[in-house]
Amino acid sequence: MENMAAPDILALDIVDITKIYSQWQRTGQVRDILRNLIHPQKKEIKALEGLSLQVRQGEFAAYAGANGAGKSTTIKILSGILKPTSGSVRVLGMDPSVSRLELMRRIGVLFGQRTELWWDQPVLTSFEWKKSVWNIPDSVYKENLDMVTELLDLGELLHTFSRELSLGQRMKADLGMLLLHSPQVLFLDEPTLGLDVLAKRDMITFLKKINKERGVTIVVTSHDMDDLEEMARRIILLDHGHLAFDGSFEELRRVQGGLGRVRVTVSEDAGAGMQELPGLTLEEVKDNVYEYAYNHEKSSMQDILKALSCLSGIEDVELKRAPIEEVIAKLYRSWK
Amino acid sequence: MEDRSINNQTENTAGEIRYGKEKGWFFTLMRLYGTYAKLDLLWFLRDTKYCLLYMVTDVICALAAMAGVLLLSVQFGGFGGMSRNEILFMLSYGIFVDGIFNLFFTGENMGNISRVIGRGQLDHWMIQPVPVWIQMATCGFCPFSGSSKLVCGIIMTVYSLYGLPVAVTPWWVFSFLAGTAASTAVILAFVYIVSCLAFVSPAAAEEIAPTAHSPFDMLKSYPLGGLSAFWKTCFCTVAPVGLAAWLPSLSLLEKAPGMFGPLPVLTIVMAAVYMAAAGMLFKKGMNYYGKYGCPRYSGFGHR
Repeated sequence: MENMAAPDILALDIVDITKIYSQWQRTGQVRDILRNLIHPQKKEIKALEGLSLQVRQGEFAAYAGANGAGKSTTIKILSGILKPTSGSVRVLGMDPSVSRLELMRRIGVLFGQRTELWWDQPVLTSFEWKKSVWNIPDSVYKENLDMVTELLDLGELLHTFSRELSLGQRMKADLGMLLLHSPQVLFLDEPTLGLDVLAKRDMITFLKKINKERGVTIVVTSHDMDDLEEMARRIILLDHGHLAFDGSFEELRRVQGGLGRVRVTVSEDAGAGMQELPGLTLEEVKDNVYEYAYNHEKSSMQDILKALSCLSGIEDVELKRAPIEEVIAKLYRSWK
Repeated sequence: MEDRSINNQTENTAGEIRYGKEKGWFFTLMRLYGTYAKLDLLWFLRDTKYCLLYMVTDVICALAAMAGVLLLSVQFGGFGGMSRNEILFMLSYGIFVDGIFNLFFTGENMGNISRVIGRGQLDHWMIQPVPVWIQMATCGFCPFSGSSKLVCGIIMTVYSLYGLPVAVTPWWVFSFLAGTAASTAVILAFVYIVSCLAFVSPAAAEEIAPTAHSPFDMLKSYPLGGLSAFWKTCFCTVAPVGLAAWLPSLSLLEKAPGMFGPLPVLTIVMAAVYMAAAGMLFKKGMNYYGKYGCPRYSGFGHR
């Protein structure tokens, strides 16, 4: 299953792609019946506009954006389901719309809200169906089946009907099935959607493991930014079809200027002078807890601690990074 | 959009996974027929009671559908230019055709393709390393649960032939098989042509395939001989219900003019025309799908 493809070939190479959909516009009014029949109104929606990005083999990239930003459209273009209106796409050096069959043997696509499992068959039968359709050699199938059974703890699920699985179990089985043909690149569209904490943990650990140990390139979309930060080293942010940010999570925090948080708990009678402290911006006050944002490039930690030490009634000081959810939410709001 | 070539994965760069050697589309087709036959057998073995119930229901429905016309023909000694035994043969032919349709296209909504298109489930096909046409040809194969009508059709055909002055030669058997295959192709192509509407209007046309199929269920059991030439032409061209049983049965009984004896040439020609039209429209539909996708996805019965 190790990724042995020529390392100089990019896993993804997207150059200036644009994707335009058209939407029928209907007013639902009697006077427009004739117009709707003869010349229906269409509205053009630009799902992607001039998007360019590259992902090297072995990378684990998070692909994020608000609803309608174009994440799923990109995944569908990369997997050959949709064709871009303009621009070029290469996945492992291949054009998905031209070399779909060959490409599908080398990549895996998982849509979180869909399943590839056969509903009325046990999980193992779905796996065997995949072996036949992908024409996976016996030795590779057995090796990968053993691997996913062990790592995803699928043992007891293999003989259970897919329709009887919980969402978390189904996602695990889907992910296991996805890996049976040793894909070199994985596109995961919201794989943690609806999963409970434990199932999410298992999935994240597994994905990190196959990326690290087997060099599988992973591009994952999610609305859960904490999950993305835990999994990926790189975040690609989309805004209405445009590339808005491409870099590490730390760079993203730096760009947003809120690199850290200071949480100060004070006694009940204290609180005077807490509203304005040098180098700190008050974000939230709840009971006796004050939360500030700071930028370490502008204010030194020494100055901050000095200012805090001058105050009386401080019970606890906690330093932490700015939550990525908050950083990105701020970005989304600024894009509206 | 479709890459019809099947790549030989053993020639990939060193170190990459070596897939089983693809010998060509025919072998892929056979391998997938085997796979779907196995899935169908597993269903039969696990849910035998329900599977048998389903098969028996199929046969009852088939017999019930022909009962009305059969009783009329018994009462009046035949009608529509056909004798009682000839009508029984035509009805048997119709069940045989339904049997082939059920055998190959019952599973996974292959015979109701507008559901697959309208529910956005073509995406599942697009992420498999198999040409779409091979998936369409194999996915619905149900040799166990879908065989009851065909068995019924065979028995009925053999029974009906006893009352007819037909010389059952190898050429006649070939003509019969070619005719039934062509009639099945006409029905399938007609359903697919109408179902292509689901590419542009997925919600409104999701259930259009059963509607396109229903005229064949309702009308193919009637002898059309009593109709005017205009209506006969209509029913053998634009609304081809006459090609599903009536016209090919006349050819097989050598009651229709033909240069090749019992071979239902017109049905075969029309099947080729309809299949070509369906292929062309479906390809256009797939291009549309590649351009705009399907703005909805419905997970139930996901393939």
